[in-house]
Amino acid sequence: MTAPLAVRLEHVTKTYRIPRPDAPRVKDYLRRPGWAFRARKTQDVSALRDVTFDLQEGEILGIIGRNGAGKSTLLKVLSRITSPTSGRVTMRGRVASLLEVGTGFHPELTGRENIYLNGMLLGMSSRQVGLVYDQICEFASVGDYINVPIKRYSSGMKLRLAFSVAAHLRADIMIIDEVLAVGDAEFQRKCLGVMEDVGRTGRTALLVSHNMSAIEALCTRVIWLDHGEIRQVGTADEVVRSYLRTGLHAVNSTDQVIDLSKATRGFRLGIAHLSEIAFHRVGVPAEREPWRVKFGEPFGLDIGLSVSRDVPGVVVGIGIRNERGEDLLTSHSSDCIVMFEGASRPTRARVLVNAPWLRPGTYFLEVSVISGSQLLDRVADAACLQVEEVSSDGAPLLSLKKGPLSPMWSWHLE
Amino acid sequence: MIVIDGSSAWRRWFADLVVYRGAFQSLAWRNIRSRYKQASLGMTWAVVQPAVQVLVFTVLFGRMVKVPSGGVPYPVFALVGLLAWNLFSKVVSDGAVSLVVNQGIITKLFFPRIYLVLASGASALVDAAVTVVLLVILMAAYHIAPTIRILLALPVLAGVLLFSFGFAALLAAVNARWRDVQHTIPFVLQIGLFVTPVIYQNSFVPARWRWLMALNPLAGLIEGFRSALLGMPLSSPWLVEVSLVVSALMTILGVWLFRRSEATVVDVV
Repeated sequence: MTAPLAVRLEHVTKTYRIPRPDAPRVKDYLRRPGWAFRARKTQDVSALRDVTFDLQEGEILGIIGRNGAGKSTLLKVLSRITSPTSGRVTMRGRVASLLEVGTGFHPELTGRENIYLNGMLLGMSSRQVGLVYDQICEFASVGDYINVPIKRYSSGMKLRLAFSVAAHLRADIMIIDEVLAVGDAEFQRKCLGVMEDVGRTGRTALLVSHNMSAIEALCTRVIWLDHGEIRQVGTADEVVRSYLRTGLHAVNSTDQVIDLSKATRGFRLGIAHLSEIAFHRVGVPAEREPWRVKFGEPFGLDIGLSVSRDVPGVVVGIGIRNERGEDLLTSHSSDCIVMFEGASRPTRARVLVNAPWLRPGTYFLEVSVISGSQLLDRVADAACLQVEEVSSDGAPLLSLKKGPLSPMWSWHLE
Repeated sequence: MIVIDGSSAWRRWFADLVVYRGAFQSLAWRNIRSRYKQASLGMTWAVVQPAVQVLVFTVLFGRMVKVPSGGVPYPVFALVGLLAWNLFSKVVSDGAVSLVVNQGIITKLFFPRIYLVLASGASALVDAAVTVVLLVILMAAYHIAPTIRILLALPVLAGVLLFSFGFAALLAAVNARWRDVQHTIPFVLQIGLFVTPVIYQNSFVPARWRWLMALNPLAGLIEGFRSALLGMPLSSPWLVEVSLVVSALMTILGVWLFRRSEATVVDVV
């Protein structure tokens, strides 16, 4: 038996009208009025195209996609912040949207006042806020600061307070945008707990996130938006996998070797050209898909390049960025004095990543060729690497580790 | 059951006003509470502002220019005018920018947008209430006792509110797209104070120009206010009624225009 319908979207389309860059300016009206008055002044950009799906009660839907794919627009339409250009949304039940925590917080007012104001703005009555007030304070653990203007709070305290109000919101349908992506590790765990709670109590939720592990852990179904259209709908597992496979450019990165010749580049000097990057396993059987490693597992990269002129001291480098776009580290071939001395034209660089300090998650690799201090070629987001969680007995303390890197150093206890 | 599509009926609009009344309470309270925060004088400012205005106008126009005030002590005469004018001026200047100032909220949360215009006027109402207290004290000091006509002050006050909020809603909708509005408001209000009979009487204006004053509903309303509180005569019989109608029309126009732009205001603000 299927649960009753909670949300239904029918052919939802959203078009933004933006000014054309070549629209007539004031002086054009004076000089060429005939043209200026007739010229087209705006252009339409569609952010959502014919989006249709149903959501049953109790489902937690994950929405993934690249920046600009229309995820935020979809949430804005669903939370009634902006109207769809055409199409129709129907929702059954009380809806609460959390596109941001702490909306409407006033810096001059105290924590206590802000709890009430924010709660009521989110749709609670003052009586309802009163009922959960103590729980909110406890959850936020701001202690005596509750009667102090929140401009005196640290940003962490402000965030905890804001999230605590949101966490105590009771609605049938929750619309949540990237709320999980903020705060320290401990706070994120708290947030995940709240989200799991939403699932357990049979409420419906729509969740946008770039955090694939959170999406996989929480969502019963996932929608992948691409250029405003639904590219794939399915279980979290399958959609996330095919989403990650595409890497950040259009190249299919389930292939062991990724062709970089057509990848977009920020600049081009023309002297060197990165042609490909290949993944290979080190010391473990290669039966699994490429670009997926277990936490701590070594792997190797093969980078193909061509240098068209003799240039001195060519260095090849890789950079690793996490899914939040933070650069974690850069490694250069010159680090271990593997540099082609004098004028040279290397064609291949190999790097063994023998102890990757990467926590489970998604990472993007950048490849570059340098000569002296001159960047010759660079491909950002050349490949996408998945670091998977090891089975629970392997690294039981992983959840207690903070920071983006998990180094493996030698320890001795005496 | 919530239906979201391009169109939206008036009935749905009014239903939302009821459902989201908590948001209005929250916004209004936020506006009032934060107004005089971190000012050592706090709420006293609500008294100081009109008091200083009355003092300056009394010295300048009452004593030096000797503007006739129809036999009423000039400070009382001016304060009645200022009560209505300040209310209008604050509601308009805060309301017109309310969508822009609260961009951060409206791009993240839904509630009827008109509540922002209404809530931003909340502190102006508090200020007006404080001015009423000041007025009572001043009238007592000058031994002016109100008559039963004071009841007429209520429809007049309603007219001032309708005109102010209607005008604010209209300006807010336009200002969301064209910020020129918010740069125009301060000096228009400054001029408005002098072309509206706040510190002088309607009859101070030469008779052949008086029809121009009738275009400004605040002129009639302020005169009605003085008639109700101080028993001053009306310069023409239907002035107050016409002003009330104009005010109601302004509210309808303002709300209608506001609603037209409401659905996609977030996209252009």
